[in-house]
Amino acid sequence: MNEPLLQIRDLVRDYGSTRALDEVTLDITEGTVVGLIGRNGAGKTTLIRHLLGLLRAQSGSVRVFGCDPARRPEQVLDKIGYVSEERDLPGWMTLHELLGYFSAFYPRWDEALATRLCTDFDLDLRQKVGTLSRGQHVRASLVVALAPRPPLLILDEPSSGLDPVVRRDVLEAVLTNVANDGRTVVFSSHLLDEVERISSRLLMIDRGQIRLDENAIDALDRFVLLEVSTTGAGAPRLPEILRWLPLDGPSASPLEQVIFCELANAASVESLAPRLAEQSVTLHQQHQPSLDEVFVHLCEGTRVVADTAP
Amino acid sequence: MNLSATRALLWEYYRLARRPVALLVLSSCSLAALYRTALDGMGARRDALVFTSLFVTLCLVYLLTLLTCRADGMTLGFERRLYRLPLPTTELVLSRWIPALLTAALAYGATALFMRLVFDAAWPLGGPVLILVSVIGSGLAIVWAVGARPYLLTVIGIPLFGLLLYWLQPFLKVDPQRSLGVWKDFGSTETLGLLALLGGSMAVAIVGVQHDRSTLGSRARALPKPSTRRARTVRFRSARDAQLFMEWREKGRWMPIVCAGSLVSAVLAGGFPTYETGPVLRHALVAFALVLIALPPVSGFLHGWFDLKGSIATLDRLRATRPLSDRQLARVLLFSAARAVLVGWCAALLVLVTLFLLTGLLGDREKTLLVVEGIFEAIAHVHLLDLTLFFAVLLSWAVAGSGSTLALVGSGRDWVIAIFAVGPYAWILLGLAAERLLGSSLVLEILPWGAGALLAAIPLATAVAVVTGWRRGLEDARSLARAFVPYLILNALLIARSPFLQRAFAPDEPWLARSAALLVPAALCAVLLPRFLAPLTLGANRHR
Repeated sequence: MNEPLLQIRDLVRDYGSTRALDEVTLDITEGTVVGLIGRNGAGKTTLIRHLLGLLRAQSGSVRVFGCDPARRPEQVLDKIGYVSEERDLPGWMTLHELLGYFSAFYPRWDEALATRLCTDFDLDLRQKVGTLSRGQHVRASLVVALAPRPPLLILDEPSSGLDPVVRRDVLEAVLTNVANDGRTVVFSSHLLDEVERISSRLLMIDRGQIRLDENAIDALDRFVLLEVSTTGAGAPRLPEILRWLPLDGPSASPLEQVIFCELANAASVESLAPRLAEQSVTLHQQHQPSLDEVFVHLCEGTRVVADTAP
Repeated sequence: MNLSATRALLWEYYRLARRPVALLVLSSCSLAALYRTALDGMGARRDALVFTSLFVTLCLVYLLTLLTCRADGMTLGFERRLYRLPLPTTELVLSRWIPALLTAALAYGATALFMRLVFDAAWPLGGPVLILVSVIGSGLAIVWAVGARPYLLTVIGIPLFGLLLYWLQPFLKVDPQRSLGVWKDFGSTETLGLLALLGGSMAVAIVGVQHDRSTLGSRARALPKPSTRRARTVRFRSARDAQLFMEWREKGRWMPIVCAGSLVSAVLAGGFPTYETGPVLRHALVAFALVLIALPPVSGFLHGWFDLKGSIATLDRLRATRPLSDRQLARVLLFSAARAVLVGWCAALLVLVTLFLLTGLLGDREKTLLVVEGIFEAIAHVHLLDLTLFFAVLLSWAVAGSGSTLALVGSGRDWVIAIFAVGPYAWILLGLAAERLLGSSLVLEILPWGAGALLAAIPLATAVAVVTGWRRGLEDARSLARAFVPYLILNALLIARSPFLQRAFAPDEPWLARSAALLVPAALCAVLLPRFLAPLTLGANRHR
């Protein structure tokens, strides 16, 4: 078992009366690509800022590479590549000044990789950062984040507001240069198809708490969407049906004719079918939901079935 | 006209401008009072009147231009975010242009009122306000029209400013006893001229912004094409050098420009009305002395305020994520701030020398030679060690002034910055106002106690910073030794050579001895304090 690269224990962060992180405990081992998802204001960026040492733990502890990043930032930050959604590179620098500036901070800076990425991304090194388009700016940020060959790459919603070509470039660069090398990536995004494509582990934060933390494939396998229809004039509507089912978990209104289930085992759907039939509900089809659907249902607290076993 | 949209824009301007303008009024009143007092003491009341009014005018022009324009470190100009608003360009321009003029007039009026009430000064009001709004109006118009091209801005702006001063020269050359008459002598032609300038500026501003707004899209599309030529990467020897390069390009390089510009402006404003060698050189010396005093805090403030466009001094993401320890980051910033001070002082000295040479060559040569001879004679009688100590004290002030300011501002806590920024001005104004109006020198009487408390607080704060830094692992024994030994030697020399301190330690003057006993460790620690305090405050800002 690998030692955790990132170790967070009972991390709490309050902004005034708002609790941004609520006793978050988390281990991330080397070589994992973690997809960090959650609604706006869920606490993703706050978590990332703790990893970078920009926020000090109010309660609990944060260890990155075995160090507290707020106490020893120099020992942590030289092993992290970081791309944020903000345009935080100095606009007055030309790109070749930018590369020179960044290379001075990282002993493992790979000049050849930086040059190759600039060529791949069609970046003109004589151009000023301030004159770059948003897509070019993200590409430039990615170059300076990847060129030091960091053991840990943190991407904080790098693709938001970008066109599909740039999003593809970002993903390919991350996959080719980091993820396939067995290094660790923390990838925060609202574009869940990207997260689904790249991540080996899914981490969903909601209201400062971790709601989902498991292997990406297992996480999606646990959920199923049932397309059903009710028959007869006096047939009940789905919300009422859900109340009759012997299920745990929060109850909420689902989309009409669709039941979203979290299953304990493969036989659960089969055991559910007779019960639905008893209520004049016909099961037409079942299929695995996308990450988008899982995300929406988890966030909105739709009917989550913990176990359908009798 | 869309009144609700205009009201919204005016409200936004008010919210953006209210704090800087309050600080501006405080600082312009303090500056005017200080200049008045200093030049009055030199028997130059006439100069004081004209000079201070114009100097304050220049300050207002400079600061309001900054406040009203986009100043992102790359270009100046109209705020382009406003182009997205569904309003005609005329409304956009006027909703920024008119409030700027009104704010300037109000700020000047407040300064004039203060000087009249407190100093009973015949402080001019009507004429300067007309000139002020004309200068600000035309300045904004030029900046908005050609702001994206700073060199063109310089080429157009400086001759225009010179022309304005030349045109105003007859009105400023007056008998000091009829000082209000300076501005009353404005004839209808001149008034009409200034009003025409104002109107023309408004038209230029509208046309310039309209042009910028209409061509913005096409310029954005015409981004430079990628070049096939490979650019060589800039190399730095270390991370420290790379960060120093960044600090210099973003902050430090403005110091020599600001110093030289301030000196030239002060001399132009003060000396132009009379254009005699004596007043010009006197203004130059006073302005140089002010540069010596004021530059360290200014440099510290600039280096400690990380996002000049932001409303708070939060450490920006780029600096915060550099793989440097808090101590390394603080050292780089402290070094950069002190270096910028020294370069700024050198630039001011260069301007001063040039001015002496110019006045010698073009003006009253004999008088200039006399002044220069006097300076050399004064220096010749000074002991070499004393001269060295003088420069050491200057250097110490550069380090202590810039470093302490940086450490305080770099904390990123608004309340610390507010106290620091407003406190000295408020103290000066309260003291002067209380003495002049109430005949009470209570505030001034408290001054020694306040100074005593400050002198005692500096060593205490240094000790706390050293202990805290040590406990947090920011400092080690070697670092402490390297910090303390040179300053101990320097201060021992200072005590040994300073006649004041030698007298102060004499047993028959116990109060001076007490002051000296506080002054020496305070002076010693004032230089050391930033070194130990800045990593702590920057760390608190960096890891919130």
